[in-house]
Amino acid sequence: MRILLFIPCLADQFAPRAAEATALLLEHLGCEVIYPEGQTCCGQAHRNSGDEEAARALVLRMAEIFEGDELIVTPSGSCAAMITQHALGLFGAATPVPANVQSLVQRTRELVQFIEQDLGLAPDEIVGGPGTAASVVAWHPSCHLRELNRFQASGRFLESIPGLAVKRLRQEEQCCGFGGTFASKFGAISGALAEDRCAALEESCAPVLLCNDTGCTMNIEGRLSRRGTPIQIQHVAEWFCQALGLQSSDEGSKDERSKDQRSKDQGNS
Amino acid sequence: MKGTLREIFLERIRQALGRSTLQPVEPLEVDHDLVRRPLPVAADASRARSELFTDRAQAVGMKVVTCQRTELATTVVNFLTEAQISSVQISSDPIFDQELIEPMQETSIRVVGNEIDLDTLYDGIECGITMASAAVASTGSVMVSASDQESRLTSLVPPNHLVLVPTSRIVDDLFDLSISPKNPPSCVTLVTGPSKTADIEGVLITGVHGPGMVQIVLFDG
Amino acid sequence: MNRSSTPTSVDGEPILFPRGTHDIRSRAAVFLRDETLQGAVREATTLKDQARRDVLKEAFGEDVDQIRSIAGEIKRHTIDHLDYYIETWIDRAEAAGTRVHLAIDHEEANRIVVEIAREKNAKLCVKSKSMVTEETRLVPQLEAAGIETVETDLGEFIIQIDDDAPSHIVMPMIHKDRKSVARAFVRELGAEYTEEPEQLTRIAREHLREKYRRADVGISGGNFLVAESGSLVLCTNEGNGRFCTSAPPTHIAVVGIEKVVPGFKDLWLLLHLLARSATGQPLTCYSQILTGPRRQEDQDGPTEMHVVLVDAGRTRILADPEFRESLGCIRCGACLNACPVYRKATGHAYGSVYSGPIGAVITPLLQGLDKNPTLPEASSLCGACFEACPVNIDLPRMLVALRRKTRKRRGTLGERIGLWWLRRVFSSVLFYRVAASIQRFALSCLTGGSDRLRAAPGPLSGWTRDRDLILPARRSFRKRWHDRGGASR
Repeated sequence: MRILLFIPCLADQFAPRAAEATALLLEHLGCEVIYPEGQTCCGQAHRNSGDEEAARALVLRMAEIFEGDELIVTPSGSCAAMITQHALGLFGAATPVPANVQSLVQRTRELVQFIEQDLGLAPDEIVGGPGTAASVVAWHPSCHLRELNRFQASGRFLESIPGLAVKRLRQEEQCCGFGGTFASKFGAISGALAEDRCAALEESCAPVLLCNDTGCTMNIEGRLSRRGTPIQIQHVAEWFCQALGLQSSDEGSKDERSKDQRSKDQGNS
Repeated sequence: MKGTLREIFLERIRQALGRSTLQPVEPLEVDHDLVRRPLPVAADASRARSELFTDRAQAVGMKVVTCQRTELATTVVNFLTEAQISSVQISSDPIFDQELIEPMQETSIRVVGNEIDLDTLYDGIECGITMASAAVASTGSVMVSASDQESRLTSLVPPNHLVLVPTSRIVDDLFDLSISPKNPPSCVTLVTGPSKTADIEGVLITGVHGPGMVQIVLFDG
Repeated sequence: MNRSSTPTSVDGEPILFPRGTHDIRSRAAVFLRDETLQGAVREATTLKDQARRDVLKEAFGEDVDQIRSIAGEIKRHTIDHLDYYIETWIDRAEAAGTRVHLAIDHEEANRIVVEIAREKNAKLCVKSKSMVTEETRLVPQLEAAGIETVETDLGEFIIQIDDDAPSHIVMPMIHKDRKSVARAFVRELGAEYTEEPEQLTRIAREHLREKYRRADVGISGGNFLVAESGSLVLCTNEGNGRFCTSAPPTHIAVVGIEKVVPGFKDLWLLLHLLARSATGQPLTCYSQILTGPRRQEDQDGPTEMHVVLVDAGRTRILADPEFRESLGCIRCGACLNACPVYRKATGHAYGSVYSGPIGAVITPLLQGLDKNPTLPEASSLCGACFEACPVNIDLPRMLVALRRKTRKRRGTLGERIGLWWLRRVFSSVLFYRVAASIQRFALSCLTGGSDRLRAAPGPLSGWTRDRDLILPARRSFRKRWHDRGGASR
């Protein structure tokens, strides 16, 4: 199956390994992955800030760039929700929705949703066990899975991976506090919510947190870093790639960031 | 003057809705029945209904005792004796008049009717005894209705409420209650548990203002 | 009872009606540091939220969402035809002997109630919980007219004697602990000091029983109005609502016009959801259906029943199709319990009778967006409120719509520039790539070579208050894809 890869701006910049793992996993599952170069952003930030006009322009732009019959797959739950749940609402009753926007809405899928619903694959058909990936993980369901009606389903999908123990976090349904600009504008509340997630995560004793939204990841990772809690965060696709032994372009290096840091440190010395 | 005010008031609503005259309203067609849950399968539907009602009523903290029609007086008297209740106010249902009052008085329980003054009711009566006008299996509720026989206060003021429920009056769901929209009683109350609160730090306390104990006597009839 | 002036919050402003422009963050900052408060609110809201989900699932299994959507349709249909259903209700209620009064605004609603009470020579009113009377600030008006008015819901009673204000639609004193109750009872009622909730409840019970007995007027709100019968429906747990509507010779109900439903079968459906969503009960302990004053043959009950129908801004909301559905709210409080922001900010931070997500929507609509510009922003748009709402109100959508309105009216310059800049950046890949490089460069200048930023300036300082900002990766996905020769177009 040929698919179009939709890598939202945050993932492109802040979580490129998760994005790459998504592509690798999709290829491994037999998909022909095409990356439309012109893509930038789905307009979520503008829509959530109440700038409907800009959001509409960005959705129209996206619809052009992703034109075609192929399904569009993204590692980000919130961007999938933006397109499938909110894009049509940007066009008032008076403005007809262009056909390519309709099509964009119908063809967009979040990664796990795509694997389960469109490829029809169960976890045990993909992977036999964790391999070198963590065999105990915690799971943070991102809020946008709720909008996609995938909140429980995604958790169940992970739970049925052979040999993987999934720890459900206390109050797993409570938002991590990201919410885009909310995190900065309401820093104190947002920070307190991030702390709730980190405390629950620490309580779970899982060495790795799985999540499929870059926003949540940045937020939780930032809080973990601040409190000095050494828990790794992976996108679901990254976990699968590691379990399957698929090599990313980091040439097997487990942590590009520490490599970056090392080279920088060497340069400094 | 009132007519005018009424017109202004309704006109504001109509304007907000973007119309100038009242338009005919098609009743909304939705599937209310989706809320109904089937009764547990049993050979005897009436029995299944009674059992479900009992379970649900107990789940919300009411006590249920079941008896035959012939055992009614004994059951009520036994309950009152065990609970050490020595004064009751009773509605004026024919069953009460014919079957209950005498046996209660024989056990030296003070029995008063609706005629008593409020001070006596508030300070001197330990239990109100009423007849349910209906009961709802799915929610475990008992319905009491104000009428010429039933006072509102009997089931409210005394700390205990004993309510008689004939099994024939149990309906499956709220939807099956027959309250005439044309002429309903002035006050219909669905009682679903003893009076309770959790206002202070979430601690559950029963018997705040209304009765802290609701005893249901379910009897064949 | 000695009532001081309007209770004030940590910012010195009245708790529910701050003067001037209110910023939810100013109070939230203080409440976030109050560990007792945080613990109490977290505990209560998560318990109720879990209870709601458990009992709805137990009762309706997989049909819950469909039932919520039917309930929403019923409320929306009624509101779309509010003129018809209100008129029908008035006709039927009057036919049953209820005296119906119509109030266009708060002042009129209060004036009507005070006038009735005066006409009855009332010395004492007992009152059960009602949100709309909190909106109109009825109690101070009655007291000003020399009519002692006692709140009888335990939580509201405690709040009244302790000069506080409710902070949750259903659990009004969720922010208070037993110690403050104990102190207030000693001070105001001359009771002996006890912290035992059971004993505190007894004290209140005895105190209020005396009031019911002597009261001349009982005041209540209303959860529903049934158009086909002209009935008023009250859902309560403690029994105080029954006292207020049964014991005194006059009963006055103050009810918002949006409370009407067409018929009993609609009422039953909504009742199946209301208490389950609010507290996890199948029904509240008492669901009363009141239709007119006592009949001639009745044993007791009020000889007069008055209902004051209140508009007070509802028609303004009705007129805006974008926000109309917010009138469907049945005040169950489920969205407050589910809301992560409510759990942290807590009720009084909202500066409104209505807090949480529904408050963030209707407070600006009822009181003005200009006075409450931060309320629609106080959400991560996580959608928990929408999912929890028994009448399926799309609160996140309306929060975003309100943000659009605020942005147009008074978005800050920085925000406008930010959004404009982002729009430019996203309008072409070239801009996007250049901007990404600039961003990475700028951020690494700030961190001095580290891969994480611990203290950011300007608008990002909110982020780094409690968190680090992990810098963008050195190689973007785009670059990686290009480097490995992935297929693109």
